[in-house]
Amino acid sequence: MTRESTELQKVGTALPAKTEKTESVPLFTPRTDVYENEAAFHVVADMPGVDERSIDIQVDHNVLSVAGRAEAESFEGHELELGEYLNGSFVRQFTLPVDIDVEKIEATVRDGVVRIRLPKSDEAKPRKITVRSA
Amino acid sequence: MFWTLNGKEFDPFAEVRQLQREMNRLFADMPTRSAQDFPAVNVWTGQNGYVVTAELPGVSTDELDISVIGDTVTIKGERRPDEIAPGESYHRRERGFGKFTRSFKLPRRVDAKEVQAEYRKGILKVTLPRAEEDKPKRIPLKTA
Repeated sequence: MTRESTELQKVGTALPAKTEKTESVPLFTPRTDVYENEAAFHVVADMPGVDERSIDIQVDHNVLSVAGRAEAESFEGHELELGEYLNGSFVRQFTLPVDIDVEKIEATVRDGVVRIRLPKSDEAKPRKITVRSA
Repeated sequence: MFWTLNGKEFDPFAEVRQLQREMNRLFADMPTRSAQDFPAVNVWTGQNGYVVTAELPGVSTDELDISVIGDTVTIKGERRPDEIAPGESYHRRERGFGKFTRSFKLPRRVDAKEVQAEYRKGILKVTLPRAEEDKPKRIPLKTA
């Protein structure tokens, strides 16, 4: 068992200042990887228990918002004996450093992991400038 | 040795110790997360058995190993890191990876043959029925 494994646990969060949640469900910050290549940004977020229909991804002026909700568990005829995790909503926002082609954003969810591919707009892609000798 | 006016022994660190006790009490209820606590589990108890759920996002079912011996359940597995292609670089990397093992004892024996596991939306759900020989038995009363 490695030390990194503890970092898999989700962490609680607060909403940005000036907003308040309307429902009393716990709020979590999904643990997220962000990586970049020449063509796109990739955002990978752990949201265990999240329902694909509840996932909401938005880009507004280079701010990416990812949200999702995991429904509370319950099993008929069973009572919770030991509770180590809660179900609730996941919320996270990122400021993207370059222009994104919003029309071409793709997102998938599988096994509680949300993957978003954000292609860079053509203007933001690196270009090679050829230097001509005069 | 210090003495106070009324002749009692004076302990200059009594206050400090009191503070320490209070701090310990304050933190006693805080859940401490250590490597042994992954994955986080919820255990549900019912008349006829238990349901154990664990938060395991992005784990391949091939990498999961659940075993039951008597009343002890063990969840073992590994979460592999994403492979990134050459030319890709991380801006941030918060999702952990690695091997994990979690064992816990249930209050009663379970029927290992009847245990079922299901993995959906990154949550592992293990259903463990109580062992037949361990279930409560109703003793019929005979009237003479």
